Amino acid sequence: MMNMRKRRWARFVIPGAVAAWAAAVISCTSVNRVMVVPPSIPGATYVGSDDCSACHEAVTKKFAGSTHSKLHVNGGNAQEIGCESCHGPASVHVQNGGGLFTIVNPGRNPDTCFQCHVDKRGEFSLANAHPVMSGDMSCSDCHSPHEGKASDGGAQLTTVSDGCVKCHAAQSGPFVFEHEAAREGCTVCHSPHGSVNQKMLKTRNATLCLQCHSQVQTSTGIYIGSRDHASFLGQGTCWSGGCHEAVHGSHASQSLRF
Amino acid sequence: MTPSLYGRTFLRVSALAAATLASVGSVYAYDIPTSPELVANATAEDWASFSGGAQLKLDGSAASYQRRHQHEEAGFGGVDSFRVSSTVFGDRILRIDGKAIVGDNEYLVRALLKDENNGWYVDAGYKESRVFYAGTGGYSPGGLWIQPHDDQLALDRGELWMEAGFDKDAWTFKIRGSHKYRKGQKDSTMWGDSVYSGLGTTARKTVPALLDIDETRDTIEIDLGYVSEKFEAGAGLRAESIEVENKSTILRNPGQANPSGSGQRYQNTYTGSESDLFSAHGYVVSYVGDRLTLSGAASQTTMDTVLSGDRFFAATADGVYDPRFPRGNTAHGYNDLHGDTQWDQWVIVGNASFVAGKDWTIVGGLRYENQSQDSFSEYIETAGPASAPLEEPFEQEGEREFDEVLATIEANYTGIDNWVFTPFVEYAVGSGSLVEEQMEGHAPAAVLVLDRDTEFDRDYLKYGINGRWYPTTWFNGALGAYRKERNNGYDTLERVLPGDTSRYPAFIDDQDFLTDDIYLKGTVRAMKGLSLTARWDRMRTTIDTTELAHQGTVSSDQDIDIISATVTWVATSRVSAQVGANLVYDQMITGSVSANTAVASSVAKFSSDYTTYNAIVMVALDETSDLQVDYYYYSTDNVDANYRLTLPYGMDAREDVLGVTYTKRLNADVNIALRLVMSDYSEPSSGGYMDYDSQMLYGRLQMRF
Repeated sequence: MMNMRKRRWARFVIPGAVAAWAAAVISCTSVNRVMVVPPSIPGATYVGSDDCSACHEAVTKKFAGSTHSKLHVNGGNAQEIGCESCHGPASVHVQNGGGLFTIVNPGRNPDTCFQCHVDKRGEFSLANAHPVMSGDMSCSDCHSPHEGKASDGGAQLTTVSDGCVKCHAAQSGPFVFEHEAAREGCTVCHSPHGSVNQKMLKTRNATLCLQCHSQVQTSTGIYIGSRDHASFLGQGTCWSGGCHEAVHGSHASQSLRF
Repeated sequence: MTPSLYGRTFLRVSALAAATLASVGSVYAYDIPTSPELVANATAEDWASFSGGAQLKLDGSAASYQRRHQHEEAGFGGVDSFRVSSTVFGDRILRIDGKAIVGDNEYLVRALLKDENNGWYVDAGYKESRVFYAGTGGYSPGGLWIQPHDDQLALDRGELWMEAGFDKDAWTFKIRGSHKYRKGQKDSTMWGDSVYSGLGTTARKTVPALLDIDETRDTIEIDLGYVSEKFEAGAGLRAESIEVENKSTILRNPGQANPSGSGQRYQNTYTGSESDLFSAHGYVVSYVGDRLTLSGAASQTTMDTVLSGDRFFAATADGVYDPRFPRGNTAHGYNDLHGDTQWDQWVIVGNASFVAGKDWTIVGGLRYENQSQDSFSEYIETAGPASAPLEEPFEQEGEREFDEVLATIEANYTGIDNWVFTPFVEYAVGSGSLVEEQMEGHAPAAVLVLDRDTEFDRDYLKYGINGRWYPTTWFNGALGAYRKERNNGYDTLERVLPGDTSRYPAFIDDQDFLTDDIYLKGTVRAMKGLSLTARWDRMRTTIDTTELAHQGTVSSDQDIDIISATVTWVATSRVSAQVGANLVYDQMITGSVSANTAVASSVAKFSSDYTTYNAIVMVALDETSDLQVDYYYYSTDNVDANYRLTLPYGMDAREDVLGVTYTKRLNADVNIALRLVMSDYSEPSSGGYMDYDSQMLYGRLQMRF
């Protein structure tokens, strides 16, 4: 184990040290440059949200009820709170009539969202996560940052789970034999931003099901429902082959076996 | 100080870093680098960006590498982004966007023709993207490795669409047709069983299943809208045709002889459905004065589905049904499943937003939903030993209906300088019924094996408050908390039938979910260029379950704490850095109704703890070149008794990723980037079969013209 660790660190430390040395050497030279971090636009200044509504009225008109509108306060300390909090300073964007690359678009880049939702960076970085980091999805595919509840919940026509079945049609049903858990929403079993467990599951073994299907331990075994599951629980998961594969619902088996 | 001619690059590079920290090597451009000078005088709106990448080294699991980095192991390359635009047919604008990355299978071509003077447009295109999966598995702590399928798997998603519409004066109109598909292979956690478990002769289910996915969705949507100063209205129609032709393949008892029917066999399950969905919706919004906004909407959706399917055991993954093939335990199958389902949904919502005073806004809403569904299917069950196979017809029917009403109210108060408070309450109540029947056997000797009526009622209450405070210009804090309660009650009337052992959901009498959540966040801008954002989230969820004839118990108790932080430091005009961390503590304990005995194989506890760190340093080397160094660390160690008892994969893992990116502007409109990524992943809980050690080199050339 120790040798593995040494090899691991050697693999990274050497190139890292080279890169750091290169940066240190180069930084001794004079460069007239400015670093920016998102959401920033080089050379731009804040102009306030009123200018945005001149062209984006359809967005700004509905913004008052959005989750993000609740960042606004009275008083002088919350400066620059408004459209530019997420889209970056807009003076250049306004000056040239909305040209390309003159404004930050969080719909194409999650970095702006991570500035406040700092925990989501870690979750999306996990191996089992929706592909936001690779650019195949964006936060706005599931969340509406400009209007209403950020996930179409509340008094909306659609529910949170409706957003999931847009892509996952096979899991939407209806089924002859339903799994009641599906009515609680997909997030009862899945962590949609990312998980250490495969398929973004909240847990990877039988505990996922035992949350609701509690064990009844007797002197003869562990009963779940009417059947002794003592010899099954150590075998893997409840939805393993031959047991309860049809976790989203079944057209054939009342026990969701298949 | 002159803003950086290349400053925009760092915005890009930072975005790139966000992507590459996890999906290492995603050099595809979110945007093209742009200088302030070019931004301020932007006239050129066309560009092309080319990128490619290849392995310098890959030791270990290629499937694991592909899943983690979402790149083809053999390399990739092509046009990652291009745009060409021009004026055609007078002053109409034609814009063509595209992407074509061979290897990673990322494609896009899109044409937009727009007449801004008359307000109409036509938008058409095609896109496809690939997600890589690893079908790696079959590891037993005893050391045996089973790999039943190709483990380098990929699933493609694509869409072909055409849309036309106009936005002129007060009217908007859109018609859109699209064909979406999802096709390919992915792994499944419907694990197959093996006796090579390292736990004696006990079978253990750790062999990954294979899913063949073939799903299409054809949609036509029409939307019409009208907007005036005081009034908005709109209506829309949607028609969809959804086809699913999926297959799952599970290898049962790999490597075992098959004399008794409990040896190696493939479990092949074909699942098909064809659905026709039709939906209509409408909405109105009325601005009553400056302080009151009223809105209402309604939708009705129906979906009819025709079912098909087969499930049988065979010697190969592409075998056919043979009634005399030895099946073994838990090896029921079915032939010729067919049936249909009908689903109807009504939703009506109403909302009001009232500015009650200078500092108060109150938003309330009501939502009513009714759902009903009827489902019917029949099939021939196959069971029994090879010497005397049984084929028995089954038919089943389910009917479900429920109504639910949801009321929400939320206030926003800004009456105290530099504070905002948002209390809210949501309450829902609903009830419904479920009827299930199942018949077995040939008429007229068919017998009823299930006859169950369930009445259920549900209520849901969520309330909480969020607050935000800006005490100074350099610090702000936020605090939020909520409690969520859901109570589900079931009243099941079940006819006791011969041989019926009563099954779910009949067992559950009452179930209460309770979640308490609190978060605390602070952002400090300690000095110019230095900021810290830290956040603590805590959630506790318990589920109380009462089953028929048993006392109630806390069937689940889950605690989650997440501590996350990001420090951003623009150290000088030329150097900036960002460091982040996520520490997650996540434990679930499941209870038991009684504890008369301690059963060794009881599963009661599970942890999903993990830690991630990320760091990025960006340096302006000179007027035309930048250097970025980034690092990502991930570790998880949840090994406990469950590791031995249940499923090991991923319980113990570590990942280190180091990236170095050099970017050079060749002239005002051309730049190049090179990126080297070294990645090391180890997962002892998969016996090392998911491990890999890789070095990848990527390049990118971007041009504006």
